[in-house]
Amino acid sequence: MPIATTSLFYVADTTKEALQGMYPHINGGFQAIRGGGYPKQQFAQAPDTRDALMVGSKQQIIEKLLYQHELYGMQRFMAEIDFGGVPFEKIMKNIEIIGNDIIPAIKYTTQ
Amino acid sequence: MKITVISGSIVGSKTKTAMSKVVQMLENKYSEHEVTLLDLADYKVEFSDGRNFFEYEGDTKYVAETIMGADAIIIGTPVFQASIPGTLKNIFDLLPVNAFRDKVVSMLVTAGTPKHYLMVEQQLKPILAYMKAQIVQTYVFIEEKDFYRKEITNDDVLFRMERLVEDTVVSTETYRSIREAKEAKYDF
Repeated sequence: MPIATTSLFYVADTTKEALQGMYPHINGGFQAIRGGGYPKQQFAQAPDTRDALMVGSKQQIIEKLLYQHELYGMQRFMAEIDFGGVPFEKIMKNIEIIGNDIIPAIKYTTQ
Repeated sequence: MKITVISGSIVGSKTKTAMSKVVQMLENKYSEHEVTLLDLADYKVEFSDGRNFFEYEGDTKYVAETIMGADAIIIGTPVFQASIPGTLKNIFDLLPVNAFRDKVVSMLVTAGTPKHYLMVEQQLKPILAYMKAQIVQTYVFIEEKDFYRKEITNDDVLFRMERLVEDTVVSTETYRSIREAKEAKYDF
């Protein structure tokens, strides 16, 4: 059966950079769609592999994707990388890390 | 600090009398804060139909957004059929599940008799807790005999109301400083 998972997504070189880079957008975005921001306490837990939100260093994202692959055996992951008005430079940086580091690591491990 | 005072019924005068008094106490003692009275009798609020609270129009939107924008909420409710009025429950139903997160909520009840004095414990507090409110545990319960000609005539009740107002403001300031200290620890 074809399976995909999806999540809001933000990757950076370090966990701290990823959290700092994503928080204003996810918080502003949730404020706009739900009328309330994203709680900081909950966001601080998000890099954990068991949390569904894809935020963290490239290594953390790779581990989380592989963890989900182990659980669900999905063939596809859909990353929403522009939620909450992420500017062009940050999106380019995300796409670069996805292409250079994440996809090769995932392919190497799952194929 | 934004404080919203709700008079949770469109019937009768006791809750409105009490909540107007609460507003007066807030304005006398805490004039630096922004106080808004929402007397539900003044608004035509639609039944909740599952929309996001900010997608309603007119009075419904105004009432829901005023509550969501508040730091502290003082809810005044009568007792109807051993419970809160449907008008007040509808306000809760209009709001999201975590609507009262980071807000302090306190309560004042007016009633014809003392028979339902535990109504708040059994019915109102569980709703507020589910919606993540920081609840001021002590509430004020006012009976028919404490009123005369649309005025509260029992001095003890007035003292209790003053304490409720003070506890609400002090709790809101305290929870804000706790939250700020906690959030300052995150580096994002």
